[in-house]
Amino acid sequence: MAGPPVSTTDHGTGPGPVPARAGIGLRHPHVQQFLDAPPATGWVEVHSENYMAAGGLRLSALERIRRDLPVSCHGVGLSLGSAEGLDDAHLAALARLFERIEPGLVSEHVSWSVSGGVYYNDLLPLPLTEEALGVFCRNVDRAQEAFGRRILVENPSTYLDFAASRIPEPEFIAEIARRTGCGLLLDANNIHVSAHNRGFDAGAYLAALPLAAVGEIHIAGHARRSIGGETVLIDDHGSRVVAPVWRLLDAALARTGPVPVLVEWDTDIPALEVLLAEAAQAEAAIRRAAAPPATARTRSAAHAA
Amino acid sequence: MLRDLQTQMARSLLEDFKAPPPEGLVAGDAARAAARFMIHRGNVIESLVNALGHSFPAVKAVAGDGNFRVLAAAYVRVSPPPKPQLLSYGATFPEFVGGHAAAMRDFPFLADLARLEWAMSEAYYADEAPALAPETLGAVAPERLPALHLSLHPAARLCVSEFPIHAIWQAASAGGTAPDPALAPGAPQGEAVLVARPSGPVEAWKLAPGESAFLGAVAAGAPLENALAEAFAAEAGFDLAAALAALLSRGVFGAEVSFDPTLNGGVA
Repeated sequence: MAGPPVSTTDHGTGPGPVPARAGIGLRHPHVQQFLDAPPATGWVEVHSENYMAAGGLRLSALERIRRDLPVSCHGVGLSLGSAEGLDDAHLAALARLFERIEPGLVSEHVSWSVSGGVYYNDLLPLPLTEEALGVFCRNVDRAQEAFGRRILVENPSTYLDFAASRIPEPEFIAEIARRTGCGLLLDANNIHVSAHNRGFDAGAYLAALPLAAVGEIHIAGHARRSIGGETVLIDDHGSRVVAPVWRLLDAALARTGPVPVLVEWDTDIPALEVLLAEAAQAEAAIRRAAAPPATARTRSAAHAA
Repeated sequence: MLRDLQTQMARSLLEDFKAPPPEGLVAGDAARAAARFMIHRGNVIESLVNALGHSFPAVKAVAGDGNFRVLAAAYVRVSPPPKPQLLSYGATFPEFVGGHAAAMRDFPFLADLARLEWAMSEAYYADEAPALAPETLGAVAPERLPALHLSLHPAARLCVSEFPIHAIWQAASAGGTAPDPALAPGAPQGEAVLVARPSGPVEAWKLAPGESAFLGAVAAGAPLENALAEAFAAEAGFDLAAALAALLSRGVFGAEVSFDPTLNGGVA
């Protein structure tokens, strides 16, 4: 039987490429457990903005954890979709953080959060227009130049459309990757949530994404809320991954081959063991994707760059 | 234009929950689009209120969850974050609380409590820097001591209140409930609190009047001679050796010392 192209050690090997294995988000309630003994996870992801401090315990904890595990920095505040452009100070602060942490992956969202210099702390939807595409690509170019590296951008979870939208969303994202050379952080839960809320076919959406550019996959749970007499799926990252999202993960991995998969859990954070159990399931999905074709085995190296 | 759309949408996010959504959104019909936009309005207000609750847990415990949410949501609407780092969000919240008549009528110490909690937040994220070693101080020739300038460590903060703010903070932090109302009104004993993180976690200690005056003078840039005079003025029995030992053990001073050239002892 062919061995999987993934590491068989319990944990990763410190700073460097994020392996094509399952990872979990590093969340405050679990930090002490990470410091006591690195848990069996291939890598961790952090929200970049939570570590943009001059010093302190949180940052020093991450600096210790990164000696044992590769780190991915996932941003929530750069606002790549803002027409007013990117904030110089924020770009510089992120660049300093990346210099310090040396993340294996850096990612952001296909959305906006800043207008008039105010940060709204939500991932707001973009109208899918030529103008927005131009704005987004200019901002990605600028970020990649400031960081001196390629970034990944994540497909959004959405509740709304815009009357002005002209470009199908997967095409919009594919065009971003094509014009800027950035990669795609494929969020399987976001596809499921948006497909339900906006009434499109998740499988067709997935197939239309630029899957060759996928550098990481996110999976997460969501909430079901009754709004105006109908069920709306809310992307709250507060529960276990549901079956249709696991199926989307399999479908994505079948096309991309093994890539890093992150279990995101940001609200109602459970015991570390629960996260690790979800990650073990993701790890099994990565191994299944790795098993049949021998050609898939080199993909982890290609995507780690 | 995208910029106009974002300006309009952003403004609408901070409006009252009953306000109509911005134009140009589609989700079937208008009512549905409005309901969907409310998800974003809720995300913005709720997440920022929660961020404030995280930075000001004692204020939240004293005011009660419902009151705190009203207070924090009002603050979010007038002072949304100027930076995409929630670590630095809330710097002006103490001032806002101080200007909130109803909150201050019920809890006159609430703004000072918020100031103390903000000092603790700042201390948590402050720069790493070595603290002054007792040996460095011990090596200073006695005749040069009057001109000695101490500096504060980046994580050290002094909070002075006319209320027993340390006791209020302890009670609110321990029980998660409002402190004894007897502490609030009347003419209670004021307290000074020192915030620092000598070994990692942020700690807060109540200071004696002499220590508080001494540290306040040092923070304002006074040389040791003047800081000592302030300390004695505040507390006749001030014990410099004991105070310095306590402050040094809490990592309150920066590692570098300097001397005032205009004072006796300033020139070697």
